[in-house]
Amino acid sequence: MQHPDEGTIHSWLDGALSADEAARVEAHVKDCPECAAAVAEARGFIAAASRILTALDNAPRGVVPVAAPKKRVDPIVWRVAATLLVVAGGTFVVLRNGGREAAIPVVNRSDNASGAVAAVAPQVSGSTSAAAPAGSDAVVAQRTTAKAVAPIESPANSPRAVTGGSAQNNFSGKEVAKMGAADMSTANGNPSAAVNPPGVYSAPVAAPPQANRPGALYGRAETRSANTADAGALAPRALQPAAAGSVALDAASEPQALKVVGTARQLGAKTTLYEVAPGDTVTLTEVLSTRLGSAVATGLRVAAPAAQSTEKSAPAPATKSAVAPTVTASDSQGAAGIALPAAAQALQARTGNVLTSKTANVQVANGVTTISWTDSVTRNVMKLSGRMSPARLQQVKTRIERERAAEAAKKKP
Amino acid sequence: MRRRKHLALLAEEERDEMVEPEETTIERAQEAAMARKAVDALAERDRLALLMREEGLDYNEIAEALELSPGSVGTTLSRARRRLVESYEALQKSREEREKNAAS
Repeated sequence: MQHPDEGTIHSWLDGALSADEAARVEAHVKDCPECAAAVAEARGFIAAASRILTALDNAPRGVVPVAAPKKRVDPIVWRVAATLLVVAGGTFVVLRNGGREAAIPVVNRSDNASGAVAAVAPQVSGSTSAAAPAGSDAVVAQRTTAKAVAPIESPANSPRAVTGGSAQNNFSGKEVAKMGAADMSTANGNPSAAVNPPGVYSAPVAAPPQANRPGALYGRAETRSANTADAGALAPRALQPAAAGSVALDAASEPQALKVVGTARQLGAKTTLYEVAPGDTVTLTEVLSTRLGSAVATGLRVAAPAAQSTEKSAPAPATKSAVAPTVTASDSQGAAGIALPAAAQALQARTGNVLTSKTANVQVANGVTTISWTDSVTRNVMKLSGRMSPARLQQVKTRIERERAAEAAKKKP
Repeated sequence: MRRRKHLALLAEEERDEMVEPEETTIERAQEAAMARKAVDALAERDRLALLMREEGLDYNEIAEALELSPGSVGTTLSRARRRLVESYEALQKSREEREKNAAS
């Protein structure tokens, strides 16, 4: 057989020859080294060509690796995204916390007041001390003083306030003095006040200088009532100045409206932040849906001694109550200091019964005063705290109460 | 001698697969580019015949598709294969030389 050509060898290797042809080629190649070499070479070409063509198929695979670097970039993208997330989240948290920090310190500051020493007696008694001497029976007189010191609570509280006892009265005298100085100064400027006969009105104004000497206040008051001869005579006269004074006081005590700085709802409580004066804030906490009994129990814990003493002393002197002021007045002329407890007890007795439910507890701690009471309408326990004197806070409380009442009145119709 | 070259080619491929991934991808890309060039260099009939065979078609099918006699398919394929491998090896040689020049 002739040497098979290259095409035949490829055909044979590809298995494309007929059985006859294949057998012939196979026999020849076995005996022909030259042809055997050609077959070997053909096998090599077949393999190499196949490999090259496979490399063509690798071309897309070659592209995939180009994409691989992209994958390697991905982690960086993720890292950047993660960083952004963290930064954004952090900023959010910080902002949120920042907001809280802005609000909380104020609340905390005022909250410090809780657990404070009971201060009911001092300032309430302050209002009383002014009222009591002025004219024991003159309702108008009481109102005037009340306006000056603690408008809402005092008419009721005033007699009882003296109750606080002699020890507290020393202090209360000072408090009244301060308050009188601060709050009545405007009233003083009032012409009607100046013209006033030595009636009710002069009492608060006179208070400051004498406040240092406990009991002196009462002595002075007594003197005045002596001047006016009797309470009955005083009343009609006192009426006019009192009215004028109260108006003036109203105007004076509210130089600007209370500004609500912010409200925060906690669980079971509503907190309102009022700005009394620039940079001077108070916090009003309204404990929602709390029963009066339990709330007062907790609220009274610290102030309990004072309150208890009030209740205890109430029954005994109650009968004397009507007489008490007058008696005190005359007594105090000789020994004001000694007379005080008696007057205090008597006054306390008079009001004690009436006011127990409305009692406001005042606590002072770290310069923060907290007043807690029960709202007469909602029966919610209210807590008002601020960094100011009890007297001033009491005023603020009155204003807040007035505003709340006005709001409630608006809502009702 | 050629066979040795082919074997060397295969050996080289294996070496390529052993180098780090990045280089392999580059190598693969270069191989593919060269293969493409080599295939493109073929006459159309040779190329088609070769590709068809690579796809698994038998000689009769290739002959039919390319309007060839079944006997000439072997000749076409053998020619196509030889030219393909030769041009590919030429490309490979020139690349190696370029790399050598670049290295030196």
